[in-house]
Amino acid sequence: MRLVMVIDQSKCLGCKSCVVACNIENSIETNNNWTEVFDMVSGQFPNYHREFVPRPCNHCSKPPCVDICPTKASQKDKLTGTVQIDQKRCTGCRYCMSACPYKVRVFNWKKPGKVLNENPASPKRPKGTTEKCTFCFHKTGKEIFDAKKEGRKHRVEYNAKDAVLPACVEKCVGKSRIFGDLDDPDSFVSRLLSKNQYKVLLKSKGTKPNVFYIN
Amino acid sequence: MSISRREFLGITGAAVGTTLLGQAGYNLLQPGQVYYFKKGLEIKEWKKGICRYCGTGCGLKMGIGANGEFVAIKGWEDYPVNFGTLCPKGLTLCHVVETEERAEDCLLRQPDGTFKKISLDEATNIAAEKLNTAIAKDKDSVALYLGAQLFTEEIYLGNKLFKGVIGTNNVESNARLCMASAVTGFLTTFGIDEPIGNYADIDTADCIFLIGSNAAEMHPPLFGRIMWNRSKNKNVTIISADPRYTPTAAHADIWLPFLPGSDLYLMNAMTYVILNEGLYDQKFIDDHVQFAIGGAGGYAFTDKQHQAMRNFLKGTRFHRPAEYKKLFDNKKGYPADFEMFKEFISAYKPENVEKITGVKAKTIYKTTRIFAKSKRTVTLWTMGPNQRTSGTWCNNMMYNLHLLTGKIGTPGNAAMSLTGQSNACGGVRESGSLAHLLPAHRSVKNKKHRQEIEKVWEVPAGSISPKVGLHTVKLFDSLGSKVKVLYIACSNPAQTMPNLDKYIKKMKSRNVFIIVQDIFGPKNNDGFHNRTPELADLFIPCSFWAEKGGVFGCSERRSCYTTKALKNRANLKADWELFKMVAEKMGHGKYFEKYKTTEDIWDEYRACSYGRDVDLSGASYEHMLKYGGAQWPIPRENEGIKDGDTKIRCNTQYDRHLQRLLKKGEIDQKLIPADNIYFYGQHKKGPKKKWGKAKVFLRPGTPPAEEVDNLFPLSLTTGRVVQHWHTGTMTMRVPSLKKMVPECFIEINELDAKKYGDIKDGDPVLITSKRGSLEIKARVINTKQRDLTNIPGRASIVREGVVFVPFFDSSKLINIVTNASVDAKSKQPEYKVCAVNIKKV
Repeated sequence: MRLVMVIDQSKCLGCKSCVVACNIENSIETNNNWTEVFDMVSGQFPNYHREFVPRPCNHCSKPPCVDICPTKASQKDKLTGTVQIDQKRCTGCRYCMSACPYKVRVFNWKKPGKVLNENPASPKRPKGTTEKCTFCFHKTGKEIFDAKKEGRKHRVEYNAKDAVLPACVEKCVGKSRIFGDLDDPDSFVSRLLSKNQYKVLLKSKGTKPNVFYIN
Repeated sequence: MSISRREFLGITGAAVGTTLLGQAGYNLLQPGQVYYFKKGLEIKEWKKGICRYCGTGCGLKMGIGANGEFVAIKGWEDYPVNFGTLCPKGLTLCHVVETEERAEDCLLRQPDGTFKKISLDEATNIAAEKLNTAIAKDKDSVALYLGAQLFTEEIYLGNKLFKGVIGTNNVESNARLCMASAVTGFLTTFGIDEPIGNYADIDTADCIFLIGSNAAEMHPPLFGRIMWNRSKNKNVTIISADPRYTPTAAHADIWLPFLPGSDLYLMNAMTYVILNEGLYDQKFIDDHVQFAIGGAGGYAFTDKQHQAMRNFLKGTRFHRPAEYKKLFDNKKGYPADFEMFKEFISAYKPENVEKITGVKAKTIYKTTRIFAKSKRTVTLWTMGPNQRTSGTWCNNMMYNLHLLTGKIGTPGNAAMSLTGQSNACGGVRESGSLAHLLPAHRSVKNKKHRQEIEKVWEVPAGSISPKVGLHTVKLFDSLGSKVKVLYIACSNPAQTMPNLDKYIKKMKSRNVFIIVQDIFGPKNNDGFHNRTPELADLFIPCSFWAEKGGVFGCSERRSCYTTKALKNRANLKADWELFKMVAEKMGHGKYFEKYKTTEDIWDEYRACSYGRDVDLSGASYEHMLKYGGAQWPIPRENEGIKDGDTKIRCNTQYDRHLQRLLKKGEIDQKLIPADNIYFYGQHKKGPKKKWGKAKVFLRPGTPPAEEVDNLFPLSLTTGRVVQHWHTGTMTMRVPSLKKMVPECFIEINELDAKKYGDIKDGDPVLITSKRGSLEIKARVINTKQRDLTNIPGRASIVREGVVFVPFFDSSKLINIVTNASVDAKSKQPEYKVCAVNIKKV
């Protein structure tokens, strides 16, 4: 299984609802946004080109943060194919933060959940550890695990009935974020990527990112 | 993250193919968008409501815990406006409800300028005493200034206290500053207020023309609908006319970067192309259009508009200088016809106005052809055309484009002004809280209307004054002289009035007693300024939004009820309860005894709208919650019937009011043309052949009140950003929103930045106009930037010669700089254009 996110840039309004949704869902301190929306402008008057680039964690297939972690706190989750941090093992050395070419990782200087009211379901993270986007593992990961245990089909699929999706995907006003399993040839993301041109961030770094941009 | 642009853009993966998105379609109803605010609390029930912020009017659901706690929020999945989506402001409403900065004490200003804590009983006593003392001398020395974010019921009750019981028409609302021109635009063209179409037209239109509207930031769920429409239908063209390269312009297929204040020239040039290339609909014009100059509404032109009109008439066979003034004074106005209109428009060849508008003629031709040739076209505008000294004219011009091409009154064809505030349409326009209005589109000047409302209000005959009250700018001009007591509820004029310094001085004057009702008080621990409460002589705290419950009416004539879902804080009272208390203390308790709940007020109001064009009599609380609001006209016979409301007005197939008029025989069935469209607002005005015909006005291009010159070479335009709502009193209390845009900025074009002293991004800049100056941080977007760097606070690119400043920041009051000139008809000030100079500090 390989959970991926496809971002349709033509529909991103740049309103940052996803950032706010992520902050609330994961009880993130406001300085430590897990996802960002970059705003790039180029060209000359009157032919400007403006592009919004939403950026969650890329959950790379060859993640440098996992390779560098001295305590094996950063791991590639076998079930979902995402990169997760075992907060109990993290010693806060922050090697991973320097290894990540996308700079998605942030450090918990304070105990999270102090600034915004906490979501009871959000993962507990102690002070002094690194953290990052989990693709809402407490929702999606749990659903996949439960489904496997119960022997049913999981609902981590865009457009499925009662779908379980990351907060940013659910909350996107322009419906620009799309989420699903790329290993499943019938999933919405597989069909999208087979029919569209796509881009990834920093292909040259060889990290094989799992967030794809279409236009 | 350092990623080069080339690296990002140059990489492509799979094969090229058709986009699947279009075929598969989108699942609009995403389940489970629940956002928890409270730890470990179970949600006992979901209660429905309408978002507190903008005029889109999104539906939401509040998750309430066992003890009445506000636990979670989510979009109302099947609400026909937002279909379950919420923008970042709506998503974080809980933080505003629960912030520790909420005021809880009544405060009275002492002679030394400090505040003393008093009880609510004392506060209402003082308010009543001050009002009574002033009224004893002169009824018109008191005034009420309301926010268009109060519920309709509260506005209705405040209106009754001042207009019905006290007997003064000095009741104004801050909606005067945001949509008065839209009202006069509708009234002059169609003879009735509020839009013909609705939001659903956006979903089926082929061309969406946005002018002076940054919907992607200001009405995100609505712009989301535009994007979904385009994703399903590849033929959809989005056109954005805006001096700034906003997110809306970035998503548009065509951007028309016109110079601020040249909108009339631009639209006249578009009309030229329509007429010259024969893109107009002759049948529609014959059936539904009459041509006019000024007549309707009398002599309401500014000097500059008169000058423009004279200049046009001079060269034509309609030149009658001796009669000019007389013809405009007279109700009938200048005679006009299609031939005259053609002659008039011939001066606006796109090539001729290229220099004035700053838009290439080629682009105007292309845009107009798409506009006119598309099967279904929707035009949306917001404050750009409204906040202008030619606001009414701009609105007329938009309808001209639609009327000439016959694109109005049918599904998918609409032209409407998107309101800024949640209840500007519902509370202010419909329930009549402006100086010349009475509830349900009635006028204070009309004797029959006054009598009807006196009966409804159960006040003695003759209580309502026939004299039109003071409009907002005049009201604040009269502070201390004519007006001695000003009662402000739920508005922040000390930050939003144009030419602010002048009005702050007036508000500080000892000759005026200011009563302020707000959720935020003058004293704050977070260092934030609540400008109006700071100037209050008497401050009364009140409850907020879902703590009181009531009805909001949004831009598309849809009203919906917000449940009283939240527990009231401590001793706070709702605004309507406070109005009632003050009235009781003034000795007018008997007129307010019958109002025990908001539903009592609503039921009285909707009953009095029966038979009017704004017929809300079928919209009971229950009906609105069941069917996701109701679009008026909805007569009481249709209460409880699904789709018993009106999607499109002025079309006999849809409009419940028009159907009723036909049934009653007030309009003869024979008058209705084959396409079922009949603009009944213009019925019985003028000779018979003009009955039921909308007006196409000749509106010559007019410059703004203040033009750029050598001393002040730049145009300033103001507005909002997506994260902050109006004056920021609410959204600046939400940590995640405040973090994103912590302070205001001035957007400057790269070329201007170089020209005016090599200004770099982040430099402090002094912005000066004839009225005042202010130091703000510069935001210069580098278009050659190659990195994806994140800038806290967002900005768009302005075109050369223009600067933009948002007005949410209470520590940097940009309105010190703006111009207080008003539109002659709508009395709306020109926030959108004034001449400024900038200097690096």
